[in-house]
Amino acid sequence: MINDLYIKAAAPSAAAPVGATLMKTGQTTSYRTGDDGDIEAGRATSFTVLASNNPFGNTNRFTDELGGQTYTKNIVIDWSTYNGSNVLGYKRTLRAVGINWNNAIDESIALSFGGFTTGWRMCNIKEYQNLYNYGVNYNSPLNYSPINIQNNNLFLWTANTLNGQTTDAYYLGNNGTQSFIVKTFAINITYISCRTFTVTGTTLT
Amino acid sequence: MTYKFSQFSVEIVNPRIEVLVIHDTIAKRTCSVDVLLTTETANFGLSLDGFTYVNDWNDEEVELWTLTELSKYEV
Repeated sequence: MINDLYIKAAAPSAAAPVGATLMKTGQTTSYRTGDDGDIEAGRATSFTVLASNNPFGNTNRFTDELGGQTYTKNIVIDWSTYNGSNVLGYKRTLRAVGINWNNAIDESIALSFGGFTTGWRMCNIKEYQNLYNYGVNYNSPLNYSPINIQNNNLFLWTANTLNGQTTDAYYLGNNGTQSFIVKTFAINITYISCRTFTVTGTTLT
Repeated sequence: MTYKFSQFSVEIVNPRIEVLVIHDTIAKRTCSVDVLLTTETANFGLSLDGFTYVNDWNDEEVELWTLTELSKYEV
């Protein structure tokens, strides 16, 4: 056997993950067996508690940009979106209502806020829905700590235009509803800004 | 106290009972009640219909009626 060569067989490795389980909705009250309050489908321990630590060493889904809970700069980092390099953060303060869609887009991309001078944008519809907590009153699904936005009497522009009706854009209404309206509409409507942060250790840029 | 409702496959044991919302249909002089039953492991929401009144109602009357209605589901 001296001259024989053997090659060790290796088991095929599993494909690298290319996605993640959707987050929980936040509903924890069940109204019948099999509903979401019963099953609580989704990732993480709860809507606001991660299954494992964020880079700051705690399981808080939401922190400020320093990993704490003070939110001095009114920036909320959502660690459920962390991919190992980047994470999504939201500006939790709203500008005054009364802005049409184009002006809102212009304003959002020019935003300098909390020491972060570039990179802001208006949330798209999924970035809004990511924040919606279906465990709080339907009138104001963004009114939970630390988001604390009461949107029960105002509309929120999204960055999404209707395919096939490009004069209109999607908005999120009171009661957590989603609809669309002409982009020139400007009554009782505002928007939320968000930004992708680069994470290096515990430093966000 | 243990309760069993048809919409839930489990029995609800010793819940904390909380009347969340009272919906008053003035034209019919009836109310329905949204109730939250909380246990250590899960929360259960249900609606009870059928509270009636003559001129007016108060919270105590509705809460008492709620407990009476819930007793129909005791096991």
